Amino acid sequence: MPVVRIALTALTIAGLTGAALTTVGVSAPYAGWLTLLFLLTAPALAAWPLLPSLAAPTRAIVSLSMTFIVNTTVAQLMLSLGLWSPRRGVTAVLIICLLVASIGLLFARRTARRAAPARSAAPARSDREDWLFER
Amino acid sequence: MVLLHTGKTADDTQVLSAAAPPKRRPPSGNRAVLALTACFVAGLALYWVPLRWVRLDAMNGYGLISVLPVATLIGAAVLVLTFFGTLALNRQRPLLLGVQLVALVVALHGLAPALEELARPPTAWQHLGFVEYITRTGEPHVTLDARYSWPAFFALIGFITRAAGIENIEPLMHWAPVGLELLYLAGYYLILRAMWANWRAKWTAAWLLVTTNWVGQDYFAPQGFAYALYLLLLGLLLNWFLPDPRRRPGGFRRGRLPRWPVRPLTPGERPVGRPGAGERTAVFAIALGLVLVTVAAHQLTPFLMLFAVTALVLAGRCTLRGLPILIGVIAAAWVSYMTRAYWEGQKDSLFSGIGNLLATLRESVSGRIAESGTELAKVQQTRILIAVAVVLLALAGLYRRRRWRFDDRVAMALLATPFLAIALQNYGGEITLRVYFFILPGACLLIAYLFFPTAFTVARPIRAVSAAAVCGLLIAASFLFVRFGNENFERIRPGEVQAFHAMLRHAPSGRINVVWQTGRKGPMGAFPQAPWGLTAQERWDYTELQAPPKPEDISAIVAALKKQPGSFFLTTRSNEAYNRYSFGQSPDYGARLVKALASSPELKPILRHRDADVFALRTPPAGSPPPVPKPVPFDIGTTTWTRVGLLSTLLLVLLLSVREIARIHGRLPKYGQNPVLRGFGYATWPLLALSIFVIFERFHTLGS
Repeated sequence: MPVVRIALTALTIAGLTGAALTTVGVSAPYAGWLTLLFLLTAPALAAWPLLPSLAAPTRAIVSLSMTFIVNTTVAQLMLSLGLWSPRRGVTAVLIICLLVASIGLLFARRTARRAAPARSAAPARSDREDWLFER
Repeated sequence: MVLLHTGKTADDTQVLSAAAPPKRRPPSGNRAVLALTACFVAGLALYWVPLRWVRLDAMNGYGLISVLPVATLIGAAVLVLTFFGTLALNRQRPLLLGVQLVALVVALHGLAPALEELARPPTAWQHLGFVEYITRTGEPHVTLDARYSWPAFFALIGFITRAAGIENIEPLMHWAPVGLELLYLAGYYLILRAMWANWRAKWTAAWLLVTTNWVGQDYFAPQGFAYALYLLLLGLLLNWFLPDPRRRPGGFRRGRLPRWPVRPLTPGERPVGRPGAGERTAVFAIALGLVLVTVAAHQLTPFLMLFAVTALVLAGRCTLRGLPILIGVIAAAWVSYMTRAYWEGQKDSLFSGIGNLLATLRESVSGRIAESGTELAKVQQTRILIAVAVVLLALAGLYRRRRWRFDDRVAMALLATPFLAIALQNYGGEITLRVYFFILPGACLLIAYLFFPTAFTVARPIRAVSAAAVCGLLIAASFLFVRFGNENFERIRPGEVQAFHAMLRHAPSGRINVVWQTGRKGPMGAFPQAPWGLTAQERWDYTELQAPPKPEDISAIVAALKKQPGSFFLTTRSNEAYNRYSFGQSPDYGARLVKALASSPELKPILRHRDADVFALRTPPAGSPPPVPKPVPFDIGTTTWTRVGLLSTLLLVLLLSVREIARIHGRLPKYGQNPVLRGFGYATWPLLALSIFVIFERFHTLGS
């Protein structure tokens, strides 16, 4: 679905811009809102490739959990270790997201390589939300 | 009239679409959808438009329901009937149903936020104060309030809003109930996805989760957030870690009990999809993350997670058999190492609830009812009636499903395990409320099964849908009656917020002593019904006075103000309403009190507002207000064994996680295989014993 892909790419770019602006400490207009967008979407987007077999709504909900987990963990660690600084927190979230995303991409490549011979035999099974679309 | 119309449309659709050939969309189906959409829009208009003329100050003891226009109530009924009308269609209309569900969340849970100027209730403003303190100082004030020992939610909000440069969190607080309810639906969607039921049952269950939740724990608070995480965790476990009967020749494991000589039961859940081991590992990591965040955010929820997950494992509905131990270890470790400031020196009250079951129940049920006969008491009694009705309906649903030979172990576990919390802690007399909140996911599912018990879709479920609609009308009506029944004293008036800022302006440094009156002084200290603690939390003291029979008798107030410089007397309309509706104070008590205060030569007004009044002495006592004590920094506390305990807990969590991942990949060694990996397995038990020992050692050494 190209529309979804374009939307996700746009979200990623906008979020990364916000994160970069906050990390560097530039006070640009809309930097705050872009940072907010980054914090809310980046962990979910990073987890997205890890969940390939799911239908979009389920995938979105599970990825969304990542947003809560990453942001809360970073905030709690900053608080407990006496390192409170929202700016450094954004940097930490950025690093975690990049790590998770790279694991996800590696995982996706490995799965694709493994699935490649099997795909010719049987079409990839999609996980349909049959109760939602039941007729 | 609207009722008849909706019912008729649905009925017509049934007849016509039954006559039409399958697979082709009958034109009448579209007509029914159009009619239902029109009803839905009309219902929304009826519900929302008349609210423009609502006067909140005209509320009586029944709360918000007493000022709601009749048209709004009719609108609510139309919304209910339209939803069930949509369920009567032969085909599922996900978009129409989904939009109605979201509109219902906004209509029911957004009702008070839409009508009121500021976020409610007072506790939300204390949570704002926690966020303010954390972002200002960068540390939790662990000795000020127990909730600072579980600060993850406040840290999260503080981090995100400060990083984004948002100074005013009020809009977020204001609409938190709607946002959280939508989050609950997202988590519940995952749970419903794994259930073996027809689409009508699932949509009804989701609808019930919104309408039976009158508890009001969905405001800007850690418990509301943790509840969303609880639902998400259960959803993850049911979707990815349900044993797959297709991989097992005999289906689900049936346990070792002898089978009854009847037809075997069908599991009430079924695995969805067949995700690979890598993906399930990722989901396991996310589930573990949810547990960690919940443990750091809320006191009670991790234990309810532990109970529910243990029940799922014991019922053979979760393949992560080590997860309960993992949750238990993490939760116990958090309490032991991270909340020392909370339990230090109060070993006895911490475990007060254990074994004190009857007292806890009595206190949290009857203790929450105001003086009998008052309007507030009627609202509170209705709440208990709803809770009892929900449990009874759920049991009836379970029975009906059983008659259809379904084995609903997950729903039963979700319904039953929260009751274990009663034995744990009395939670400030609130535990039965919390238990009701946590039984809802299971109860709503079972109530839905009462009307739609089958896994297949019935063609013309007119009787079932009608019964569900009647039940829905009753539930929605009772929701509107009880949900905002405390609104007289739970709404925040703008003047009340101004009162606190006015006191801060008049006393720029040192401690501020707020003197206030309660209708009945209890054994424990209490706080005024007001947004206390909304900012500079470490600076406030509260002096509670028993309200005298005559409001003109202000000698106690003057005496209390003379004790300490920086003292103010605060009376808010919320506090007066609370005294009136809970303790039977006369309606004009507040006005007479303010008049007496204003005419006293010893007092001067600091703030006169229609929502609140603040007075101080004209000639304050000599000296300056007492200084604010320095906060005790967060520290885990050291004993002889603490380091060993920390290390063993970390190793144990790591080991248990690795074992679960090995289990997911099917690599857990069986007896006689791979001695090295088995050695890891054997290491679990000594580490567990060591961790538990150190936890007890810390309680023993630091707690007494």
